[in-house]
Amino acid sequence: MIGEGLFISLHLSNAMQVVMLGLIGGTLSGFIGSGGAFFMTPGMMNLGVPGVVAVGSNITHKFGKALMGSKKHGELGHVDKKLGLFMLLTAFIGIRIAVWVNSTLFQLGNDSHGGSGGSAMGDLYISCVFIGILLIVSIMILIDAFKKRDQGEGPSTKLAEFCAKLNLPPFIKFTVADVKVSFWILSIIGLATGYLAGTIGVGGFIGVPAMIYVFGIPTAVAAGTELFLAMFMGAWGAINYAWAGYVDLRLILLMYLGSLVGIYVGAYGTKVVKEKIIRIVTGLIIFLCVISRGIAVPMYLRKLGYITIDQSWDTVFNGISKGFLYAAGISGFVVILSAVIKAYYRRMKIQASLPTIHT
Amino acid sequence: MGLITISRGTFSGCEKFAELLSKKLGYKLVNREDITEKTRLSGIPVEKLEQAVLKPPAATQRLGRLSEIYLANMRQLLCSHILKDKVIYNGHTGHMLLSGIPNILRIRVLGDMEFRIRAVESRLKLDRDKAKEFINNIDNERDRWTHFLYGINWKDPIHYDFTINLTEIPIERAVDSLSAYANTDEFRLTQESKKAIGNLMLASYARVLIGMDSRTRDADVKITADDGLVNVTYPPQQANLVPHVYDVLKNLDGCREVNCTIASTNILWIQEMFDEKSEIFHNVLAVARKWDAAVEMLRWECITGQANDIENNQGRQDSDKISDFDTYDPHTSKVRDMLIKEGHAGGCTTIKGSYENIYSAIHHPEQYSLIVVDNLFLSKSESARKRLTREFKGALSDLFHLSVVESNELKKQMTLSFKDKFIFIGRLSAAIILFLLVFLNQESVLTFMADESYKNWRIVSILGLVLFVPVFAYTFASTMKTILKIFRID
Repeated sequence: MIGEGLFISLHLSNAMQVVMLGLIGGTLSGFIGSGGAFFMTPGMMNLGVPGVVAVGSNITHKFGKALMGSKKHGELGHVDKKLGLFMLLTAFIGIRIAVWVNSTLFQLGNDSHGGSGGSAMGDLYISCVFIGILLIVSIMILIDAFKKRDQGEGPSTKLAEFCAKLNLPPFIKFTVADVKVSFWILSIIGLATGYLAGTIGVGGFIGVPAMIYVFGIPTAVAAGTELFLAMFMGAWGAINYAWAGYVDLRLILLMYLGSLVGIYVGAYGTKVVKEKIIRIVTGLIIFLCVISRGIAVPMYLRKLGYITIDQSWDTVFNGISKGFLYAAGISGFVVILSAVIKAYYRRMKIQASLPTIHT
Repeated sequence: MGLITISRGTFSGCEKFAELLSKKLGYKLVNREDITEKTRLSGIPVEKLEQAVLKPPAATQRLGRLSEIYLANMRQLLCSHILKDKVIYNGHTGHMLLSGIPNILRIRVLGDMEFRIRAVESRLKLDRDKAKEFINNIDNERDRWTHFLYGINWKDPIHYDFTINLTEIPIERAVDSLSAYANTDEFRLTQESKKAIGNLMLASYARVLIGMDSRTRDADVKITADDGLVNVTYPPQQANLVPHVYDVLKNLDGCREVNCTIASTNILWIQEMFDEKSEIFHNVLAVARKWDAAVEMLRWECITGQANDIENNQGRQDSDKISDFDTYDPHTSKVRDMLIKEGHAGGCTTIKGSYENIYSAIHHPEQYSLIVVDNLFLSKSESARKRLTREFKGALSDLFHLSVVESNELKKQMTLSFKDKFIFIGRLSAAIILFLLVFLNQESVLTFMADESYKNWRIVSILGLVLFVPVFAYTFASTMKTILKIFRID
């Protein structure tokens, strides 16, 4: 490792694994519309990258991608900049708090009692937040996917209606999104989005559903505005983590080699796969990622001296955790790729067998 | 055949105006409420749609498919009236139901606030404050409803030919003035308009049938009709619905053929004359194959209504005769048939009208990835044609936020010019250099970015990071895009 245990030594094998992480993360990102951090952050931690560096590098990687994606959404009129700027006010505070917590825990881990802490304290904290939040997200996505919907029905507005009934002035009107939202609810959501983005590098899974279900915003505007937010949150997160010295530029470049290719595959996959299947695949992948992180937790507990198990078990736990993660990512990648190929042959078959019908 | 649409404000005196105008002209009066009731009776849950739109927070994406079916049913019912009689439609922006149909007389009727408050106080027996609140609520609801359905501000005078304030003008005088205008050639529906209305009715009815059948109700389809040929475009994810679509539409009155096209996206192709032997047809088809797109053909002859435009004025005077711009053109039909054979047909529409007619004919611009324009303004000189085409392209791009290209630009999109190759090599080199810069100096870079000894230089390293990362992302992403283009999988 270079730099007091912060940065791993890169050789061809683990460099290719980082590129693969980027490729799979990018494919999933293009497919489900999130940044892919839910896969890439734990993936890097499995390679031995300290959690705080994994989050810092990922948030910087997200910044570059979001900068390009936001321009396109802006041209389509999907960005409510006023809403984005209001959320940014508290999101920035959330990120700052998250960076401080992660940095402090990383430092504390080096002073931990019992076993050799290292980055274990920070890794444990990041893993617990990851498991807690993404377990809820994956279950909600799966429930939503299997729920029967009325004709043409979109997302539920029960939460948005409840928040509107709370009547917490002052209210702010957003013309592009065509909603009126309480400043306090806006601030809480902004703070939560920023905190989680700064802690585990995952912002879209909180921000987009919050905008749709809590504010009642159309999905396209929520996605576009989130991308606009991600650009600034990514920049702010990158600045904060870089200031603390927790950004590995090499990992960012390697991830780009994969993610900027994978995103095309994933985006094409959305054209040929049904929305219900997209939701099921998304939910299952996230769930497997959560299990993967859960399996790694005993390692950190041992390093911090909270449990007593043989050190040789670390390799086993890490191996199984990695296995689950790659199983999640690769199976998702294979599902998308096979859907693309299947759709191609199905189209050929349909075109051959169903010409113009004379009525 | 004639058509007048009236858009009314609440309690603005419109009902009496519409009745008098109807009697004066001998037109049939069709009220929005009549058509809405028939829509409700056909099984479409109109109240559910209204509540979803009008109840805050506005869930404008809910019931998106339902709103399509609602509009299709309203359109189909209105068209069926228009094809039988001369009609006055009294409702909310009824002309938006008939986007792209020229020669409609569009009237907005309004009354000032005092006039309306007095009307509400008198008819609903409310006090002044409650009357004002009632009017404001109805106005807000109407704004939301029209914005949801058509994406417009219905009060904008740009959407009307005449705006009448019944507070200032006596109803009888307003009726007399408008009757005179209604009888001019400009507002007489032509043979082309009649055909377009027929096509619109057929496409709308097909949409309703697909939307109401339990086997196909979840289909995200785009339907156009042209002289009995119904074109249904659907996304690849819904390929399994195709056999049911044929089954649902097989007994559709007026439909002689059903053509289904799988497409992930749509290309709108606007020309005055189509030619199956032209290079642009082959370029458009190549793009359609690459993008898995349906090509919607829009044949347009622009009528600007300028006084010194002799050719156009003559055309309008002879509008009941078959003009040079014949609605049937063998080359257009040939191009359409070739697209059907290739599996990329997205329908064919013919419009003879103004710029506004063409803009309003482009419903749902978000469905298009590209607009291709060429061979327009053929009656003009070469330089005028170039200028008008350029202006038209700019207007389309500004209005719909879409990429609009001509044939020479389309060719550029298909191939890599020398300049493109040069830029590609430049970007690839830059990406490689930036990559090697970091990886050949790993330890130095990481030490500079993270080591405590360089803490005083942290601002410089952050600035470098914030500039370097997006530059590399942009450079590498652009390089990848060009590589995909070279392999024709962009």
